[in-house]
Amino acid sequence: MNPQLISDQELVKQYISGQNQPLSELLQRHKQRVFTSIYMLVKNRELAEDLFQDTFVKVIKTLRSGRYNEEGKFLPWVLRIAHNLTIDYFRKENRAPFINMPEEFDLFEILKIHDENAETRMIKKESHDKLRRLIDRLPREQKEVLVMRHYQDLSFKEISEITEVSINTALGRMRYALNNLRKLFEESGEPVPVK
Amino acid sequence: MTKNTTPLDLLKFLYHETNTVQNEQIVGDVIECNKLSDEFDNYVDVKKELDKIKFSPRDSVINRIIQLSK
Repeated sequence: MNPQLISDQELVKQYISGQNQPLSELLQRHKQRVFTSIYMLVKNRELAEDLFQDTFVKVIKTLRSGRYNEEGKFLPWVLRIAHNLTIDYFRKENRAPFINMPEEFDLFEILKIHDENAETRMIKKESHDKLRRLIDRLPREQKEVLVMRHYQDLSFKEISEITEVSINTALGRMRYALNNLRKLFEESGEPVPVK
Repeated sequence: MTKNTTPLDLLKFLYHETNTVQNEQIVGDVIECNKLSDEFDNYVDVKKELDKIKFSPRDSVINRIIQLSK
């Protein structure tokens, strides 16, 4: 059976039962999502790769130990491990993510673009560069909730606990972030890419 | 907004944090209310753009993890 058609849950079961290939498939399936969630916080490729590896080492150890009990929720579980390891890193370094973030930090310096056509690649690069600049212009609180909700897959409840605000405040910040991004698109003089 | 659904409810719906009953209510309100519908469309548009941002670790990192997993 084509491994791409097998659910995460089934791949996890196969890996726990002693097969190696399913872990490779899970890695390929979710590497972008997990790595992006780390990189959006740490903003350093080498550090993000270290934390990405640490995340999957922890995943492997947990699966092998038989302590995995998140059936059907593999990716959210991995994203939470990644988030916790990232926050642990900041704690050890005695600093916080998003604070003192360079104004001109290039979120997209290692952007992966897979289109073969050079012109398409250029257009996409420009589009992503523009989006990067627009995200950078958001107030810190809005950028924070945007990254946590969209890229780290944390729920609004979890975000509210981490940032020590009410759920409605977290939701309100997200609303402002999305609306401001939309306005910034319009102010930039180009139509918002839609639908 | 004259409907029960608020813009914050739309955000929870957008990120799949609502239950079946809430989903029905929200979908019904969005269909009936142009203002809600426009707001939701705006969220969806921006979310689509955010979805395009993807980073990948180098293959050497993936290969190292695969070796560790054996």
